[in-house]
Amino acid sequence: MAYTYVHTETLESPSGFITKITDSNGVSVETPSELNNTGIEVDETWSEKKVLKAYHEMIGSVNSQIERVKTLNPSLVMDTTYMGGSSARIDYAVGTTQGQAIVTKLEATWPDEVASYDNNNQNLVAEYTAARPPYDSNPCISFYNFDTPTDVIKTTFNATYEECQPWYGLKFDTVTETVLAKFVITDTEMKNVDPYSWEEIHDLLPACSYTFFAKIHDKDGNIDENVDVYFQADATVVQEWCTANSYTFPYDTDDNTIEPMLFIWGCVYNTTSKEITHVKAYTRTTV
Amino acid sequence: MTLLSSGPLALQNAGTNSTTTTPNSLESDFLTRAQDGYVNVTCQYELPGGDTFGNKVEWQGQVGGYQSGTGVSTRWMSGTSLPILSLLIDALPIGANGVRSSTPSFISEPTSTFGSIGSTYYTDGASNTRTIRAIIFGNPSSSPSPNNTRHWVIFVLNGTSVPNSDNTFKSLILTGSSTDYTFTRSSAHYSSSSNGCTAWAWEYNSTTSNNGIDSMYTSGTSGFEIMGPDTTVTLNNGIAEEFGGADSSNVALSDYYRTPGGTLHDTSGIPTSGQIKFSDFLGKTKVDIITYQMGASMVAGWSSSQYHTTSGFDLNVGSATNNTVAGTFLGQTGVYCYIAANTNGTLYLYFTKDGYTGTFSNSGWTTANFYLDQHTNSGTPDLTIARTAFTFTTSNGNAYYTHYGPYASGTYFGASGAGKDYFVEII
Repeated sequence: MAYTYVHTETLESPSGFITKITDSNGVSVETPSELNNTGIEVDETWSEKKVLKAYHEMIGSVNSQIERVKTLNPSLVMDTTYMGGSSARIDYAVGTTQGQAIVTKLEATWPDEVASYDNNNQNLVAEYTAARPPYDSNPCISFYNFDTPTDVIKTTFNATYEECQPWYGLKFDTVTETVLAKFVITDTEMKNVDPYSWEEIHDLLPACSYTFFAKIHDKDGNIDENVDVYFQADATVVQEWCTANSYTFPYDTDDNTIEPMLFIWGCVYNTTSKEITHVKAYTRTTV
Repeated sequence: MTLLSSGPLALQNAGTNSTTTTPNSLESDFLTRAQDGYVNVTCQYELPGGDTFGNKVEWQGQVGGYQSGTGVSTRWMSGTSLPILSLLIDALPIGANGVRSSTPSFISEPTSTFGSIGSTYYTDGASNTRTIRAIIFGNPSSSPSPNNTRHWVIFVLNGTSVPNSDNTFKSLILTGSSTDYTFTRSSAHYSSSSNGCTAWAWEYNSTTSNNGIDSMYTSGTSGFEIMGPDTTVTLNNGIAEEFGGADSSNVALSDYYRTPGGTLHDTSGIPTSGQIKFSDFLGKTKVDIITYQMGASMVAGWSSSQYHTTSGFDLNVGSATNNTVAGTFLGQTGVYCYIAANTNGTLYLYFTKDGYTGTFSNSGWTTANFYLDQHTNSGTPDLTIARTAFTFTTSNGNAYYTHYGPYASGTYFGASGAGKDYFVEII
């Protein structure tokens, strides 16, 4: 799909201009333009990024991704994470055969880490060997609990966030038996707790929607310097962005079965080096 | 206008109206301050004896606050033409140092992202959009005399020759240690051209009334408020003046009942029937009756597909009544609202018309009002969004309006299972 952008002055717009995107089918989206530092001129890059985001969110591929995922039974899902050009791990709903096998291992080694691993049939588990910091290269088990983190969990990992998303992750190292927690926070909460990283990350991201963040805590209360940001975006937009910034695209684009199953993207951002170090793509289907 | 809020109030005109002058806030928002622990103000001097030049540090200390820009070339403090510093920082004594022979500039200034503010621009008293480039604070640590106690604040607006007048701003109010500190423009140093910008600077020392902002050179979050020229308000002293009714004809207090849905006014606080008193009208501004095109009563539903939560009314959740828009709307008749919901913090208003597959025009209405926790439009809306502030698209018989928040789902329009009422009005 090809797009054209037009910036038009209009007294009706709050900024004095509108930016309009038109696709090759003639469908258009218009949004109030953003201005540059002069306060009177359109910031074309920013405005075009904003309207492209709106296009995909309202009528484009992001909207399609959301509508497709709504049709899937969450108690049967199978999420595949792609990173570095290939599949990195598969998460299963806890009620599936694959999920139950992993839950059994969790209950054997960490029986008291949570009250139950499978009381919510949307919970996800995975076995994998980490390929990104801060996780080391030991075999790990990932557990995502789709309930709001309890005060006990937040206290255990010294998390004081005010706006947590209604799910969180625990990462179990099967060799050292240590546990890390991944707290998922809203875009607003990230802006409140780490405004500099929030701004830097948003400056780096492509046109995307529905961003949220995750921070990794250990039981000593340390927060890792690597932050995860998740978003929804059009695959072509992300691919062009990866190419422009020399990021490794997460999956093999010759495999045309992946893109139709996409439902979310993620990046690992290092708050010390201020760089995106990994780009991840997630597909969702059912077992 | 508005009726006076105390004192004698007449039914008709009571003579010359009084006027009051009130402060006029142009912008108020948060200021998240960054800190740089070591910054110099340096200037070239012609050294004693003449013909030999050298750089001298005139001021040294910590700097905090906010400046815009994404790199050295766009950051105001990194410029080399900063005459405001000549006004703000005193030259060193001639005897041992020689004579200042250039314009001072910052050395070791912050060159990466430095602080943030809630709004980077405001509309001044003459309706010009002004872009804030910097609000920065200086705290001396090892400055030479006579600048060893020179604390300062610099306020920078984009563009040169921004007028030094109350219309640009009358004062800058900064919040430090929970106290407001006012910096009046008329008492500031002024430079109409400092690195492509216009700058105002105030100097003070720790014994002055503004000493509470000494802590502002550190990182943290505080507030700023830009005040414009004072607003002069004339208050009506007669009910008929405010609410209508000729002085020459007889009017009665009972003529001024609130009549929502009627013809006269819809001003909250004034009874619709029964006892009506003069005091009911004190401080009131007449609110005209608004004829809305759609006034839909909705009950919020909730859906979550793990990573996406929707709260409100859409094809799958919630319910709505009276959601058909009256008259010609978006260029069509028979249009109705089929989504008024919040998904992950973004508000969506979608419209369609049965059997129509064409496009709609982005016209025919001006404002969407949202009233929370009620089934009517009584009182003041909790949220008002102009049509022109929405992102708009249309295709295949649908009109899509989107407004980015974030809007908290608990408020717009209720968290899981809340089933909150809300009323959406299209005017």
